[in-house]
Amino acid sequence: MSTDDQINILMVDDQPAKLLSYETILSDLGENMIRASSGRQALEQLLKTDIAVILMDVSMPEIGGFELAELIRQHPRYQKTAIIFVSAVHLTDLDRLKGYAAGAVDYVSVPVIPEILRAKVSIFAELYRKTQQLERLNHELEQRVEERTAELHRRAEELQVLNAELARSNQERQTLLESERAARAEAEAAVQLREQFIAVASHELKTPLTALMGFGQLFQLRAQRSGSLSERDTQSLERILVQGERLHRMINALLDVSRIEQGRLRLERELIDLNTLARHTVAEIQLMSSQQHVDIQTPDDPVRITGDPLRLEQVLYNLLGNAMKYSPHGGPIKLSIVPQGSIVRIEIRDQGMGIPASDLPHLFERFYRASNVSVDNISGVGIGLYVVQEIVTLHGGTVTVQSEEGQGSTFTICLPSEPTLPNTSDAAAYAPTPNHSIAH
Amino acid sequence: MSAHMPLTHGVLVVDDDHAIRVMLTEALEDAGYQVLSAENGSQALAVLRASPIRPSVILLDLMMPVMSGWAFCVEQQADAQLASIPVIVLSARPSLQHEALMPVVSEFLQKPVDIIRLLAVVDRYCVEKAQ
Repeated sequence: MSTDDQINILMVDDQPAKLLSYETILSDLGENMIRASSGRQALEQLLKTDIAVILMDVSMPEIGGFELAELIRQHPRYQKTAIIFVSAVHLTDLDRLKGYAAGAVDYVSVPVIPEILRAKVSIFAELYRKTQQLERLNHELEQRVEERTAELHRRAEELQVLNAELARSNQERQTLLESERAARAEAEAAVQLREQFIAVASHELKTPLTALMGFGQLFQLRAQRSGSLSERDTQSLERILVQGERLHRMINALLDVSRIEQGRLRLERELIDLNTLARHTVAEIQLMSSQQHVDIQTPDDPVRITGDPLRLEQVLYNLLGNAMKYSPHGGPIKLSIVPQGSIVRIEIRDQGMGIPASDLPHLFERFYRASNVSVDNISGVGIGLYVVQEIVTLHGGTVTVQSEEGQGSTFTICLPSEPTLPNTSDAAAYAPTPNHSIAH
Repeated sequence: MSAHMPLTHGVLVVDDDHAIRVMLTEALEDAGYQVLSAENGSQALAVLRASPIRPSVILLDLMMPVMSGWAFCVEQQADAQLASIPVIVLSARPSLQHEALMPVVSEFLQKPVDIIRLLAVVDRYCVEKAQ
């Protein structure tokens, strides 16, 4: 038994020999034996140490056993401590009662029989241990109950907090939902208003433009007839008309964006020869800008596809226009048409300023302009390629770009081609007109 | 182009925009046509019914107040006297392809229109009629 597990047994007797004999008898129990040779010493020990069992002589000088027991019992810690009286003289029943009243729990008579004393002390020691254990368990249990109660309490509080949060977030969600709904309605109204504005504005812009261009042409026709205009005036007049065309294309580009956004861009398909269409577009664009030469390479045989001729002209026009615009220092521009089985490849290559790699993924986005265009101050709004991609996609084709900054760009369009038909008269029906470059 | 054409060929111009009416009138007169004009569909019907000249072609705008080009076409088709006059629609709209007007309209031109092309088309209908 370790020191920690030992309990204290206090022996009180004014005769040292008796104390020694008790200790000898009880040594087998392995408990801690404390001696006190007087009531005073006993009380001192009781104050210092926790005593489990007290073995005391009834008749002692100064303070007698019964008196001492009464004193001990007054202390709250010792109200239930086992006190075994050792009595040399024969005790009357009255004495015994007095003893019990004073707090004794047992008696041992002299001569002390070692086995009986040992057994009695052992029982009380065991009782003390069990009581202590019980108390400890009780205490632990209480603590655990307290902990659990505290835990429950905490959980309840947490739940309350969570509940409050939930209610608040529900409220927030509701508010958010409502404001989102309102914002969406507002955005939809704004989009609709903008589309309406674009449509009306474009139509309203076209009316004076029609009169302007018409009178311009009328002026040109009359001057041609009478030969009255100087060469400079003739040139100025031509420039007026060219700029009118430019304005017209811008208005149409705006209308196209509006249509694409509303999913209203429709193709008017017919069987066409891409070679004729490309040659015509190149001739048209060369009229507008004769400084930059476009080299065109087409196969000898017609390249037939089903498509919207005006829209496809617009595609080529936009790409060729870009090639010229972004080759500020000239440089050759090449347009080639190559049939490849079930598709036709149209390539437009320039040796202009090129496009930075970081801009390539965004190039076909609406209103997107490459980051290097501001350097040379090239005007534009970023609609052309967006429209090109939409038109090509509607034709079931793809448009891709390869470019290196400073090295030029190559745009490649792949369109599904028409299987060769025995009757090709429809393809021949495509007749370019002077007005065709104005694609709508 | 007016050389082979008798002066009696008339054209009715219907457009609500004054400047466009004047421009078209001048262009057609320069080419030797006799031009009638109206600001809207209902005025056009009145002009057609009152005029001693029966125009060979009608140049018709679509979006007009009072009576639109669409409504005019319906009225014109309902009038046996006028139904056979060819109509050339001149509009800022992109196309007539999906419209109910398609079978009634002989030709569709977009604004802004190329004058030479316009004259060529008008000429074609007048020649056809003369034959």
